[in-house]
Amino acid sequence: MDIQLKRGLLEVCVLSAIKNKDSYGYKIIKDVKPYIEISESTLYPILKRLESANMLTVKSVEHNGRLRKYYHITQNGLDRLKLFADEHITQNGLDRLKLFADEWQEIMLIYNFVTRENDNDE
Amino acid sequence: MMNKQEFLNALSDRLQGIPIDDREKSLEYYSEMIDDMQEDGLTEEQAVKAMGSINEIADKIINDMPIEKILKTKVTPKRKLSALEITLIAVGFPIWFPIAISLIAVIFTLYLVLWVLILCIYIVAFSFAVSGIATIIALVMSILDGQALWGLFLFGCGMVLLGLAIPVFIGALKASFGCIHATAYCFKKIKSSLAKRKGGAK
Repeated sequence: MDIQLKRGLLEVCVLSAIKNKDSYGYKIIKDVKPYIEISESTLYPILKRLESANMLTVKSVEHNGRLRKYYHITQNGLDRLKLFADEHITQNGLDRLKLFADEWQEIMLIYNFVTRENDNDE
Repeated sequence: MMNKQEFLNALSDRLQGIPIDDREKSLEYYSEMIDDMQEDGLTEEQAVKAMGSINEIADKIINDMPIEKILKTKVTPKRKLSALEITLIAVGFPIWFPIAISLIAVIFTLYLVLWVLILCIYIVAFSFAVSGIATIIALVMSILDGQALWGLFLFGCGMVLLGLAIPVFIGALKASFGCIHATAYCFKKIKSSLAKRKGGAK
């Protein structure tokens, strides 16, 4: 997959993983992994980028006698997710995406992840 | 097999070239990740192994860092220069400075020449196309002149040129993309070697 496209999708997926509830690095990876390939070392630069773009904020929380960083989505981040969802539901967006036919399935999977209703597992 | 502390120390060593805040943040991130994996049932060694290669991790962090930040780190060397070294640098200035400048100029010129060569390929493709189209006019003129056979010959040559223009143009495009990729690659290499040099000089 094209690097720019993949980077954009990863950002959207990470935002989506913290959309309903603040989350931490390890859990984000576990939540995103079924939809798109992500590793510990790719997540780190994405979190940094999203933080400097004010799409999320970081807060250290004590957990089992150590600190764990929780990521909280901001309005900017929510706007970004909404933009992604709107872009892909319009006919224009669909046409554009059909250009990469082989990536279509993958993107739809991510689309469903981003636009899913509240998690019911928690 | 590495334990968590060894992993973090090794990573810290590889990140000596970046600002201390960024280094500490990266280490905190990986430390937390390993702890969380252990809580999830992995052993310390397994968790460390799951992180992958330290070199790759360090390269990703360094490549993601703006080059200004890496250059700025360089301004605060860990080792002070001795008086002798400072004197040598100062006394040698009239010698090394012009050499450095001309070296940079030569590299820059070679780079420019490369792009000019690529530009030449574009010009060749363009002139092939123009002369191919021009033979259409030549054909019409020749027919009006009563020399249709000659005109047809010219026209045939022109079409061959026009046909040649296409692969030449594609070749030029490929060369440009290759050059852009190579530039990006060199830039990345320079960046990580800058960071690495500082890492070694502690």
